Amino acid sequence: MTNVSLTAEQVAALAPDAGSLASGRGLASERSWSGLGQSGEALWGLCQGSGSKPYQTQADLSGPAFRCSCPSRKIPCKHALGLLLLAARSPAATPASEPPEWVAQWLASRQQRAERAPGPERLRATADPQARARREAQREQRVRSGLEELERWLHDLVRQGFAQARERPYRFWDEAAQRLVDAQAPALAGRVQAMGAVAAAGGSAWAEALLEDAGLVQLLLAAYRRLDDLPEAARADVRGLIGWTVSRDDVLAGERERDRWAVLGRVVEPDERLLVQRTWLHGLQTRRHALVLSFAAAGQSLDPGGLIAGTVTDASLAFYPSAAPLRALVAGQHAAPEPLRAPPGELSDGSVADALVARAAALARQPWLWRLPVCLAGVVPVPRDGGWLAAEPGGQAVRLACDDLTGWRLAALAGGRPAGLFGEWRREAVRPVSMFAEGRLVPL
Amino acid sequence: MNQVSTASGWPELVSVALLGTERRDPPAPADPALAGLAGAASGGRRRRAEERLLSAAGSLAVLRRAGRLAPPAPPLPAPAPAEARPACGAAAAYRLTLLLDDQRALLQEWLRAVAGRGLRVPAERLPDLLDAATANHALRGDVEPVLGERGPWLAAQVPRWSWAAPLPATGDEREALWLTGTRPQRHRLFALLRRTRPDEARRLLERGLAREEAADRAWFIAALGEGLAPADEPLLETALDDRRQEVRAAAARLLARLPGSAFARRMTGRTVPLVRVDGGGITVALPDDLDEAAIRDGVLRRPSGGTGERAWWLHQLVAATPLSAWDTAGLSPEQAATLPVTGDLEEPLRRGFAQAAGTQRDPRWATAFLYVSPRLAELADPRQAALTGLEHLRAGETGIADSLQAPWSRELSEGALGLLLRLAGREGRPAGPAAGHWVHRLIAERLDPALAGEAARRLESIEPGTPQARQARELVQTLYFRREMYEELS
Repeated sequence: MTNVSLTAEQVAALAPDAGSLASGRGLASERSWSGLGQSGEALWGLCQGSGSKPYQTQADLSGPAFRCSCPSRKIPCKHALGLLLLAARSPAATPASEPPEWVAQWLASRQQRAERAPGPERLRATADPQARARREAQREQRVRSGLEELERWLHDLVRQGFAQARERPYRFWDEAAQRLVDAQAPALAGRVQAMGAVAAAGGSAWAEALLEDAGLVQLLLAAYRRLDDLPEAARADVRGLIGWTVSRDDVLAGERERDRWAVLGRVVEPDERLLVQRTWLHGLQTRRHALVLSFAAAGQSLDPGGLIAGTVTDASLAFYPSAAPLRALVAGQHAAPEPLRAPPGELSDGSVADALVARAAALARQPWLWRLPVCLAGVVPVPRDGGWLAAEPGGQAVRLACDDLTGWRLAALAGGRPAGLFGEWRREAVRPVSMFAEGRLVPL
Repeated sequence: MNQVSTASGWPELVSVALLGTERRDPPAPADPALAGLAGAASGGRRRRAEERLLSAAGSLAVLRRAGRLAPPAPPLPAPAPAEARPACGAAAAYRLTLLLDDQRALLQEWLRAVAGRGLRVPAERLPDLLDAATANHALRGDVEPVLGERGPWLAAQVPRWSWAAPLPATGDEREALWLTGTRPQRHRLFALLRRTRPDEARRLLERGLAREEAADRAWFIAALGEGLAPADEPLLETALDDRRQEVRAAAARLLARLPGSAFARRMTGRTVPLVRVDGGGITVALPDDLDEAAIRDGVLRRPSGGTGERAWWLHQLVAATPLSAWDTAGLSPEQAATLPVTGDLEEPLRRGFAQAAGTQRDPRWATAFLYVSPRLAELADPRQAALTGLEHLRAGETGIADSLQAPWSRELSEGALGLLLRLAGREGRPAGPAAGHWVHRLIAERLDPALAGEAARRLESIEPGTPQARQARELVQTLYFRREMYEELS
C-alpha cells in the first residue's frame, strides 16, 4: 500500500489562493480532526467547523480530487488542504484503514464516472450535422476575410516602416487584435498583441524581433492559403495557430502515450482575462516533452489536474494533433503520484548544444513554435552584465530570463557545480522553471 | 553569434522594415534556396514589395531561431565547499517560507531552533534569508549559524550580503581586503577575525586606527568587545585620547571589562571610596568635581535629560567601575541591589550598577539588578529571571518576560498560562495593561509550545463569540504553529 507522498510544499501548490492555504494551515493539526484514515489512494477525516456537524473531507490522491461537505466552492477547500498538510507532516496521524461508507461511496462514484466518460461518437451523434456544417462554413468565411484584412494591415505596417509603427499607441495593436477576435481567429490575435508589446518594449533588438514576428505571421497567412495542400499534421498546426480548437473528445479519441511522466514544473501567467497554467511533463521512458494547459477566469482557482511538480505519475497522455506534438491531455492516471528521484541525466535534453539541436528539429517540424521546453543536464548559473547566464563548465552558455533574486536562488542551489535546469525558451533566453540539485527537483 | 544573419541579408531586411517599403525597396534574397522557398510560399503569384519583404523575413526568422549558436561559457566561480551540516527537511524549509512571508515575529525562534539542532537552511532559501537579514540587522546573529557553507560562499559574491561573507583563507588575502575592501567588507573582516584570530585583528587596527573615519573608529573599537583580552589594553588606552567622544566612550566601556587594566584601577580608586556600607545601609559621598583624568577616562561633565550634574557623574563612575572591585570592597550584588541608600542618590547608584552589569556581562549582578533594567534578563540566572519575570507579568509589567527568549521555561509558561485564564475569566472584561492584545501576543510567541494542547483545552471555556475567545483562538493557533515548527525539526 502506498502512503501519502505529497510534501507540504506540493500541497501548497494545489491551493487555489493564499487565503485558503493560510486557513488550511490553521486546520493542519490533529486537534481539528477526528476519524482520520487513509487507504493508499484516498485520505479522509472529519473536521469540526463552526456548525454542529463536522465536515466530511476526503481526497483521492490518484486524481488528486477533493470533496468536502463544507459550503465552500473552492477546490480544494481549506479543509482538504488542512487534511493534506496534516498527512504531509505527520503520516502517523492518518492510519491505514478501511474507508468508511461516505468515502467508499464517493470513490465508487468517481470510478463509475471515469468509465462512463462520454466518447466522441456519442457527442457527435447528439449534434445536428447540418447545423454544424453551416456554422463551420460561416466561420471559415469570417476567418478568411479577417486574415485578408490582417494582411493589408501588416503590409501597411511595413510600407510605412516600423519606426513609425513604434510611435503608435497601444490601441493601434489592440484594435488589430480585436478585429481578429471578432473574425474568430483568437490565437492569431494573441500574436498581434505580442507584436505590440515587442514594439513598446524597445531595447536594442526590438526591430529585429518585430520583423521576425511579422515575417512569421506572413508565413502563417501563406500557409493558410495553401491549407489543403499541407500534410494533415501541419494543417492542424496552422488551424490551431489561427484559433481553431480541437475538442477534448477528439484529442482523447486519438493516440495515447502511456509512460511514467515526470512533472518538471508549473508556470502560471495571466493572459487577458484568463489565468493560464502550463504544466510541463517529461516521459521517463519515451523522453518526450509534454505540455498540459489549464485555464481559469481571473479570481478563480486553477485545476491542478493531478500534476504536481517534483512527482512522477504513471499516466496516459493524449497529444493534440501537430507536426511537433507537445500539448496534451491527461487521458488517465494509473497510480498515485510518487516523488521524482530520477537523476538529471535521465530527464535532460543534454548539453546546451544538444538542446539547440533539439529546438532546431522541433522548429523544422513546426516553425511557429515559440514556447518550447528545455532541460539542460549540467549548468552553473552565473551573473553576467546585469543579467544571468546558465553556463557549462568548459562548454557553452545560454542567457536566463529571470530576475536577480531568482538568479541567486539558482546559483545557491547549484553552489558553483553543474546542476540540471528546466525552463522554457523565451526567444534566445531560457526562463527557469525548476532546478535539479542535491537529488531533488526544486520549483522556482 | 549568428552566421545566418550576415550571410542572408537579414540586416538589410531590418533596415528596410524600419524605414518602410515606400521609401526603399527590399533586397532580393541573398540565398537562392531562400528565394525558392519564399516563391513557393507565395503560390506563384506576383507579389508586392511588402509581401516579398515579410516572406523573406519569415523564412529567415525560422532559420535564425533554428540556427542560433550559443556563446562559450565565461569563467565560472570556484564551487562552494561541501556542507558539514545537514539541511533541515522539506517541511521545515517550507515553514521558513511562511515565516519570511508573514510570520517574521517567529523567525528568530525558528533560526535558533535550527542552529541548536546542528542544521542549516536548504540552499534555495538562502537568498531570501540573506535579504531578510540584510534589511533587519537584528536577525544577523541568528542567521549566520544556519547558512552552512553555501551561505557565505554566496554572500561573497553579492555586495549587499557582505555582512555574511566568509573569512579569506590566507593572511595575504585578508590584508588585501583590509586595505582595499568596501566599508561593509572591512567591518565583516574585522568582526570575523575577532572571533577566530583576535590578535591579527587588533594588529590591523594598531597600524592605522588614526587613518579611519570617526564613525569607523568607534565601530572598530566597539568590535574589540568580541574576544576582548588584556592584550587589547594598550590600543584601548590610546583610544581614550581620541578626538571623538563616541570613540573614547567605546574604549572606556571595554576597559571597564578588563579588571586588571590601569583604567580599572583608576576607576576603582575614583569610585569605591565614594560608597560606604554601614549600619545596614549605603551612604554615598558625591564627588565634588571631575578632574581631567576622570574626563579622559570617558566621564562626561554635562548630563542630558534633566539629571542633576553630580548624580550624573556618580551614575557614570559606577557604570565604568569593574564590578569585581565592589566584591573586593565587601559589597555583594545582593546588598548593592537591596540595602537602603541614604539621601536621594538611590537612582543614579542603582542604575550605574545595572549598566555595569550589562556592559560587563556579569550574571550575578545582572540577576540582582533585573528589577532596575529588564534587559538584563538575558544575562541573569534563567530560573531567577523567570520567577521575577512572572511576578512582573502578574503586576502588568512585560519588560522582563519580553527579554526572555522563546520558548519560556516550563515554570514561567505555566504561570503565564494561568495568568491568561484568570484574566479571561473576569467576566470578559479584563483590566490593567497585562490584559491587552500585547500580552496575548507575547505569550503566544514565547510560551513553551508543548503546552499548546493544554492551552487549547483550558481556553475552550471562554464564551464563544467574544473578543476574548478570538484572542484565545489566535493564541492557540500560534502555539500550534510553533509546536509544529519544533516537531518538524526533530
